[in-house]
Amino acid sequence: MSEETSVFARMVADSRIIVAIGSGGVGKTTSSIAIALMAARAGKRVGLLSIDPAKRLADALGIPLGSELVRVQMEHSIPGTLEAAMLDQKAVFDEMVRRFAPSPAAAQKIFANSIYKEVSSNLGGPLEYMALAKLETMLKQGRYDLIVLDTPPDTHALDFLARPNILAGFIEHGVMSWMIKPFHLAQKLGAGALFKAGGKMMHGISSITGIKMLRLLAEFLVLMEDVIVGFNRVGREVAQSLRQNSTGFVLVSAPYENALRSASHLMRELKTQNYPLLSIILNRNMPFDVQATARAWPDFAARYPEWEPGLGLLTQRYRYAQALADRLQSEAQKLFQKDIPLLLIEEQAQMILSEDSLWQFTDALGKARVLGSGPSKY
Amino acid sequence: MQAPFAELLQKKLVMVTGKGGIGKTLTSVALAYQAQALGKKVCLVESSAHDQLAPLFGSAPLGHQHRELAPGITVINVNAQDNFRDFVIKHLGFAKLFEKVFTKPIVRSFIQMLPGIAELTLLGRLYYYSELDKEDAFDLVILDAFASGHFQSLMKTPDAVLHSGMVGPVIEETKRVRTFIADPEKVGVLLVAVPEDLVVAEALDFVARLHQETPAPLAALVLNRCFPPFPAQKDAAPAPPELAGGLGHWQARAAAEAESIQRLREGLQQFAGSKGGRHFPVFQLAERGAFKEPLNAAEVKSWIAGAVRL
Repeated sequence: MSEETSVFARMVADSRIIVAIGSGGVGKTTSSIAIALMAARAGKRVGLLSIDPAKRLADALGIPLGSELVRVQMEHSIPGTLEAAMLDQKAVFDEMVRRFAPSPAAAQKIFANSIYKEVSSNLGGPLEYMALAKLETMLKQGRYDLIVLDTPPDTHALDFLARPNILAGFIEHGVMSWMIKPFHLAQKLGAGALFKAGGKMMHGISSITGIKMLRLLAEFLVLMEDVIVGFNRVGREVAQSLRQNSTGFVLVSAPYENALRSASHLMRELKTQNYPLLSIILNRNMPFDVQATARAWPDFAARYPEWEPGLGLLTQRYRYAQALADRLQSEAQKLFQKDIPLLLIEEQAQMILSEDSLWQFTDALGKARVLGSGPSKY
Repeated sequence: MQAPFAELLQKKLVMVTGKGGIGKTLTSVALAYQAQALGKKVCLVESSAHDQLAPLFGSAPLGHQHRELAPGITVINVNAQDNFRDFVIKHLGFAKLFEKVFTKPIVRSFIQMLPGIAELTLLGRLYYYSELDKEDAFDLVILDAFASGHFQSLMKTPDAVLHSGMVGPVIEETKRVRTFIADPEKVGVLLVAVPEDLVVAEALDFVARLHQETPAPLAALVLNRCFPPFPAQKDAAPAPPELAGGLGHWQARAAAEAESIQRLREGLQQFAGSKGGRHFPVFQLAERGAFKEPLNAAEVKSWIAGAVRL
């Protein structure tokens, strides 16, 4: 086995959970799918969780966006299995409500609340909790050798690990009682009693947002109280099991300044929370044969001036990307005090639109050049 | 000949959007320099978890504090919570209320949960800078906006709020903001794309949906990262093998670009012919390989000045 593939073979063999983190637009979901496929090809039973993925990726795997884990039926025959869920926010939110609401009637009331409708389809924040809940179920089922978790595309992806009970404030600090309950009461007593119960502050708030909005909100929060308690419990449990199980993180990035900025932010956060970084995948690199031209071009530039516009440009881009890759790697090295393999993936000429193209990407990942851990640099 | 984007820069507010990672931020900064050259006082706004704009000017992150980072160019990274505070205190004049209520951590997370608050107050801030801020008196506000999908929902926010059943001052504010962002004289959306099939398809989809689903007027489209044309084949000596990869890449890319541009033209033609559709300018910007941080202002200015109208 070549050194390149062994990076992933080792990673896949040693981990029970692999979490992919990175900013948007760097091929994070695609990379997660590739890791899952690689493990399945090595005979593992793999579960893959992706949050709000592009629809084309769900299509490429042939599974619907929703909240269910679906067995991926592949044309290529492989020894392992892959079950995947491409989580659609609203579907998962609904599922959580059904699960944690005290009664089916309460769940129906929540579904009918107009704030819930808005929140469940538009609110980004608690999405991580949904994924965690799903992850909890998957861990409990014990059906998987490896679970791959693709996190939402932003630099706050680790917040849910740092503060698994962010929503607990609602309950623990008694906001329900001092802020919301008066409204609940007011619904029974009529609006007149409201201001006595809520005091001046309530008056202020209601003059800002309008009483109708507040009433809806109060209803929403009261109804959601049990659901939120459920969210928090799940959040804490999963954060704990992430620590107990062998969980490794894979950082996905691309050779652009802003992608690198969020990559270094994420690395520092991983370090702070003491999670291991297994490897870095740097997507969107120039095709390797183009890189060869870029390296050679300075020797030929004087002889072929007509090619300067294009080849000079490619050379400049190559050097820029190279400098960024080096920077990322040395930052990782300094931070974690060891060599973190950095895999360079060529940019894909073709978008991921089919199972075949996913396998191509998977192969590219297996054959990726490893920066820093071998004798050859680039 | 009129400088590129001259018409766009006449507006009060330009919002730059497009798929992630294709040069929105750089385009926003370059436009700010264009406006600066016209003697305008510009406010360059972003709303991101981490400052993208300030480092381009060689500055440490600014966060929610606006500061002039180049002559006539003021930069700010609007933070949702601080922006909400500003809204309650400065705009509604409820300083006491804010201190009492909104500084509590619980209430802060509660505000984060409220749908649309961040979006609505961001729009309010843009409206304020564009129309009400007598002190700074900006001639032009440029928003380095979210990627297309999120931007679309930002533009839908006012209508969502107006239909939410809320009453009171927020609704009055929202109405004013809604009127403002719908005014094509004052406001323009600039869509950034690159000449690649998938991006062009998404751009065409965005154009149609922005028009159908939001009041925001699309003002122009930028095709970024256009490669130089591949030189015509001469009977020159064959290329050395080392260069084959690069030349093949260049040639293939130039051909693919030409095809994507053709597809874009056809799509826009179709849009212009559809109900309520219209023509708008498309500009091509050259691939420059890389812009290093902090940006070299002269380099950025020459890049944007080289824009070619399609």
